[in-house]
Amino acid sequence: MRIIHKEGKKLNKAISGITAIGLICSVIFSNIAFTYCSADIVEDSLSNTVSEYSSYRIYSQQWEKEPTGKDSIIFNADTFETCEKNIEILPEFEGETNVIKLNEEIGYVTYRFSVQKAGKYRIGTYYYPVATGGTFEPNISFLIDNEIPFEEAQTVYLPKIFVSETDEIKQDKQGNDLRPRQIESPKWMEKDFIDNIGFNTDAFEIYLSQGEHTFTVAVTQEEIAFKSFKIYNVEKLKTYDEIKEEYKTMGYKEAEGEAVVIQGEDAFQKSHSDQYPEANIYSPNAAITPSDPAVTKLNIICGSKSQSSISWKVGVEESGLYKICARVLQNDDDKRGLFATRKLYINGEVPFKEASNIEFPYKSDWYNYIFGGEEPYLFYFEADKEYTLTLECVSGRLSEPLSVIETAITELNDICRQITMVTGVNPDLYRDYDFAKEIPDLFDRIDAVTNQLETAVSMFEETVGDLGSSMAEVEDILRQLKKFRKNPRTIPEQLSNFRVSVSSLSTWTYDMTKQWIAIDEITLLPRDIKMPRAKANIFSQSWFDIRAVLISFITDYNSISGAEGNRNITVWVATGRDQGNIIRNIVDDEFTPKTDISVKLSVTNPDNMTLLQATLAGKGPDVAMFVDKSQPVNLAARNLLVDLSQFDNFNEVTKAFYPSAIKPYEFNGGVYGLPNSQSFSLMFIRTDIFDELNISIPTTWDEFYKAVPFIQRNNMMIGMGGDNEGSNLYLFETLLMQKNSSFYNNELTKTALDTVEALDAFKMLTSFYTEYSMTLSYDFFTYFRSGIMPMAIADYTMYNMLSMAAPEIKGLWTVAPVPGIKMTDGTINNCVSTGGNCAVIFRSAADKNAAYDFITWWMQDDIQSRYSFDLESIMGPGARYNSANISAVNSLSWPKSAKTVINEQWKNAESFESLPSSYYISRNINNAFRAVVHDSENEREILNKYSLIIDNEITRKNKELGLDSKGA
Amino acid sequence: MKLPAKIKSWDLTVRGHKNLKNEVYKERLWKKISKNRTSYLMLAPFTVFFMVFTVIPVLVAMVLSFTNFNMAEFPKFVGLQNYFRLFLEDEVFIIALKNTLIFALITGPIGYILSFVFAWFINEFPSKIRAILTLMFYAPSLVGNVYFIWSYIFSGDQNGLINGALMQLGIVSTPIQWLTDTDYNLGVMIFVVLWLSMGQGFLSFVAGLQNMNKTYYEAAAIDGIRNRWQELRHVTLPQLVPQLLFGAVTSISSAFAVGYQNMALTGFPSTDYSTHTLLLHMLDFGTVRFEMGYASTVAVFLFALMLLSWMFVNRLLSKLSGD
Repeated sequence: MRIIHKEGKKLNKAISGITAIGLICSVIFSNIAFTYCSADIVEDSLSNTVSEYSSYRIYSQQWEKEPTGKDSIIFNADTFETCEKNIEILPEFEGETNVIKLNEEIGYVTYRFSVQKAGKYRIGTYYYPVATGGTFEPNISFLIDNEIPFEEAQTVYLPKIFVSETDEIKQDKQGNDLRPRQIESPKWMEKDFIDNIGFNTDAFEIYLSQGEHTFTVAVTQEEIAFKSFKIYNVEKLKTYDEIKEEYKTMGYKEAEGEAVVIQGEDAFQKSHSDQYPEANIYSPNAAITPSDPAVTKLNIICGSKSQSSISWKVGVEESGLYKICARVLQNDDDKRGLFATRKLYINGEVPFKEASNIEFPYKSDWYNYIFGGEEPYLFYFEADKEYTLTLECVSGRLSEPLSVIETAITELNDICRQITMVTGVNPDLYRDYDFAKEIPDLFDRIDAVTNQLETAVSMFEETVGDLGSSMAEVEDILRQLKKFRKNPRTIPEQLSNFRVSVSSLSTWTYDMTKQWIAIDEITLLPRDIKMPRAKANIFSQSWFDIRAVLISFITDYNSISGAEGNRNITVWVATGRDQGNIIRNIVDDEFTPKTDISVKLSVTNPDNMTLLQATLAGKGPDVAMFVDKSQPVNLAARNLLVDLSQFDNFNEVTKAFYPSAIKPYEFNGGVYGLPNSQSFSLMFIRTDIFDELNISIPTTWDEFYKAVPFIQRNNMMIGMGGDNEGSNLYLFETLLMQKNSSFYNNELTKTALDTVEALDAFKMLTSFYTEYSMTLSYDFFTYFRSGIMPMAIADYTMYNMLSMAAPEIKGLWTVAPVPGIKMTDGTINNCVSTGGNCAVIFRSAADKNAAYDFITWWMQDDIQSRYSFDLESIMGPGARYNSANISAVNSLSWPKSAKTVINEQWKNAESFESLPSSYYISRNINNAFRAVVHDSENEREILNKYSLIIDNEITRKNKELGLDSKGA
Repeated sequence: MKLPAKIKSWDLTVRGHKNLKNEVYKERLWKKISKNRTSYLMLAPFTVFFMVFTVIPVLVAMVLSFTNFNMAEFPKFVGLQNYFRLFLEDEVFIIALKNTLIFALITGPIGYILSFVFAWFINEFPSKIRAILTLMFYAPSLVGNVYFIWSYIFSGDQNGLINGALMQLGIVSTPIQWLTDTDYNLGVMIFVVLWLSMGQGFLSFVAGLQNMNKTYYEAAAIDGIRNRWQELRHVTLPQLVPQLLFGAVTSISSAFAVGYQNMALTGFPSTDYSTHTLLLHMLDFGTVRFEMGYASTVAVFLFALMLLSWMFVNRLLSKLSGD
């Protein structure tokens, strides 16, 4: 039994889930799934690599024979020869002098250096990862002699440093540990350039001939300050046997005193913000320290991402040799029968060769693992000296077969493309394509790649022994390749299946580089001390479980209790429990101590019915947060809400938002909600495909229409939202706004859909589907990722989702504002409609001022920033929050280009008024849309018909609620 | 004052002692109740729950149907206005009524007959296979919201199962929007509801058929029954009347309560209300528009409709049993 609750893992599962569904789909209905969605360009994007450059593996094979370089060249960062834009040399930065600071906008800098002795060199740097508050990894790319030496050089990762904000773990009122925030704590560090995905465990070695060379570097993500670069190489690491000899000559003896125990959760620095103290929910075990059946104890720390590292501080009282033992859990399903690997650093150095591959075998339960296994390694620790132990995730012995497979994938994709060039997008199953003639080297290539994959399989076999099901993906491809070879006639039929297999293989390869381990504690063991049991015995475990069950009856899981003050308010939040806990922490830290108002927080789902019923029964909250934008007006019309505009500083408070965020909550001259979040759309573009088709990103609808045929001719799709109530309405609103029209007349008593502009907008909306046959139903994430849909309009928060969950298209896509209409003065009106949710105060609230203080406090810049940061640091960078607070969104880390686009579009976002009868608009616009799209009705007649129906409902509803003609 | 128990109530009435009669009646009632108090005690939990969660809400709905109630303020009495609006003004109500009747008349009887026919067929199998088949047929209604898989099968995406297959075969060139196009979605829903109809009725048929008194068949054969059809008509069905009645009640109530499936698959509300039913109409007014009074009116109407059709079916079945 095991609960999977790791963010990375979840993502990973989601990806493999999607792939699995694709696979099943294509197996059942052979060929259906991807028949209609490919041109040779798509081939490229289905691969996980850009095939223009060879991989590091091939590069290193090419220069394998060359000797290790003997030079050591250091050049200061400020001695660059050329640079793209003017760079300011900082005379003094964080304790270092003559430093340059690079980010995406600044571009590249180039250095010239000369090498005395030809050979293979590492590149290292002395750098400072500037704290941006972002959770993106800093990435750089580099060139040697103005050329990309190998593909991996385009994204080299330099780690940041994260620490817990407080060393002490705080507790809530019930005694549950509260997860500490992870904050950046940068310092100057040295690091060699290394592969960021993890197919190569050691630093890149670049061959440099004797003479002059140039080195060019650019930061592609986040911001980094550089002090110097170093071209050098290192001595081979000593083996453990040699180290043992050294111990003997030095006369070191095994220590005899006490064991030194370090708790995993006490790690003092980490490379990623998602490595934080966690509670053990993966495999229940009463022996985990600390443990408590009643309350949550943060007692472990986990890590899985390649190149991520965790460091602990340790000191001993008695000098001598110690064994290192860790109580760990390694039950990642992907690693069944395999092992997870860590590289051990002591004070930043790997002590001997074997320590760079510490392997933790798979086991369903917690166990003690002594580094070295059967014959434990001994490490020398001196008394009263502080040591740093670092464990870094590496692929270890798996890295070699994985990099072989990765190279094979590039080749497989190329083969796919070659075949598609012959068969076309939709192969004729009954035609003999005569592949041997059309692609003379096809079968040689298939043989070669089969060979490569078989090598990888045997490499795996050597490493692991029995393979079990762990290589199913590779074997699947091998089976298909053999079939191709044996019976080429089946190729057209199998092609789409094959393509899916290749993409699932590349997902699998990526998954295999992850090395999940949970660590409870690390112990330095002297000679005679045995580790305590890793697992509690059956009696204590049962006793622990029984107490846990009993206590669960008296714990109130819905309310999250916190600090107490003199005044009280009750707040309902429509979020998950994790978000609820984050809000709780922020309230306890910053609100209650300052205002003396205690907040009773409940995690609920305040949809329209729940809120109304609870209020009706007198059990409602004082404040509800994250209420959908259609709600406040409905509640306000029934006299349930407090008009916020009557508070003194309301105008001050609203300066944090765009007016479009507040407009939906205005009603009858009052304002009944304060925006929490605000969402709007951007256009997502696959730049690789656009480049290949030689089209530019459209900024107006005219340009958009010109780009459409290029995309559709290649059997690719365009996503305009598709056929569902929300997106139809959204796009219609957007088009209305761009035509300066509105839903309602000025008095808000009728619709204004009988105008020429409205008809134009409606015709435009329906023509996307009737004339341009854009797809009515699609899954944006999957289609965009696989390249089937190179252009789509989607919510801006998808930006993070794509950058986190689709690593294989990194750098191949971008965002742009939604196309607009060219105005007579030459500007482009590219307004978009916005949605969102808000906080409301109920009339029944006893202390309305306290409630108002709370929601205005919550929407402050710094509080919103903190909430967004905490959300990302706790739930992973995929959990980006779309706050309505302008400066909060800008304080998050966005790549510069995305930030510009987002702000530009946000400024041009608008919103229509909300009416109590708004629900009738959305459903009838939807009806009208479908009548035109499905039944080819006349647009004008249909729009008239439905606007009349809507008008009637508006009149009726206003009468029912006793509103005068001017509703809002 | 104590009267002999054998004096019948009409005696008292004839004599004009009305009060006396009531008192005697009361006393006797109390006596009976206290005599059978164990039985009453056992009935009590159900009665209480039935009153609180069924009878009272129905009565409250009846009262509310004469009011205008926006869920926030106290209900205002409006007389028959809601009913006038329901029958005279509300166009969507007519669509909902039409669809409800379509579901009731098509999926109700067909589902009912299918349940019976399958139960009858299954009954012929050896018991182990019968158990497996029963489970297979009953599974869809056993697993709560399993109709969601139809949203995948009928997905409007080009990779939706049916669209994919049709496009592969070259029958259509663009995906059909099965669930939102008004030409298709009602048909799709009827199909899905039929698929779901093997419910409790089906189970009771299976159980009833297994408990048949076998001796009747032998007697009927001697009396001159010639074929399976006659056997079914004259022996099996009359014996099965209690189950048939039970099946009819569940089938009617489920046919009239069709709605959540439509909501999940075709959206709420569906395109042009094409799969709107009375239940959804009620939900629309209750939860979206907060017009509880009017929603109650729809509910009362639905209640009356169900009651009427149950009475009709009851009469039909009583003919079958021959009494």
